[in-house]
Amino acid sequence: MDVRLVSEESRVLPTDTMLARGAIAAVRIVFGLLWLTTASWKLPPDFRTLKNFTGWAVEYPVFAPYSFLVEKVVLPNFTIFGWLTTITEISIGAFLILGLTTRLWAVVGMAQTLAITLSVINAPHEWSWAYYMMFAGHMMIWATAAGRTFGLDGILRAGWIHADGRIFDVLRRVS
Amino acid sequence: MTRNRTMAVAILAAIAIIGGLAGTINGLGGEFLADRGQALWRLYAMNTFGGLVTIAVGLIGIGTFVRRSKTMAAVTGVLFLGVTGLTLISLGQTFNVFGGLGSTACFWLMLGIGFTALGVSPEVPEATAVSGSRASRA
Repeated sequence: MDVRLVSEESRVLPTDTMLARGAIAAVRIVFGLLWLTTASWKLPPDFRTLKNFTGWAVEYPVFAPYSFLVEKVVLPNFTIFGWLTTITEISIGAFLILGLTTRLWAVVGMAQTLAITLSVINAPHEWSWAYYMMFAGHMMIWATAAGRTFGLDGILRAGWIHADGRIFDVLRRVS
Repeated sequence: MTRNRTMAVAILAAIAIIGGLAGTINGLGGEFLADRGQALWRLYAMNTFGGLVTIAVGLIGIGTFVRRSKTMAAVTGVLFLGVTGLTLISLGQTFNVFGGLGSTACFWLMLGIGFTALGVSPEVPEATAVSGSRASRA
């Protein structure tokens, strides 16, 4: 057999089986549920628990510029920050469970995970690898475009591909 | 509506009705959905009224499935988005009409966006979707 063909075949990803597609969808949905459950304890108007966790960025600093930003900008304006965090996390959960514009929300999930990581990993009793795994999981959801398997991206994308207009170009790119 | 889109509507409607039933039982005193503990089904909380509203809107979703109507899907989605908005406004307040938390808002937002997207997104006939000349843009 041609060596080049063997080499190419050895790099083919086995993602187009029903089992692999199911696994990709399951990971996406589980990560969506993760964000859904974490939204339960973020309560306005003072967002007390969230403010406590965010304050760890100053109390147990991980990255000095981030601690400075939290201390001088985030904590003094915490109501705005609390709402922004809550709405962002609720949206990540909803869109990942649906598998809609999944690649965009996987990137937002990575950014949010990074913010959490920089706030809490030096605090007592925190397991830093949980956050590294969370980041890696979102990276896999992005890499596999996980909404195209058992998700709305897989159903709606055909329409976006055939439709004209900038909005559909954007939707096609982020799905 | 295409077959896949109709199936997605049916699945979302089923999730709404099952989620609403769970919320209703929870509100009646079952309390198995409360945001305590680590079990996977402890996802969200709502009161009996919130559960009944979820079931009612979910039944409109079933109607969408039966009639294969994109307009009805969009209406169902907008109703769930309204429930989400009301929940967000009343989060942490003494008057929380549906008894929801942030996680419950996420659940309703998922249903709202899902139905709305299925209702308003353009679609192509299924045969075209397979062999469309612009598929290479994917």
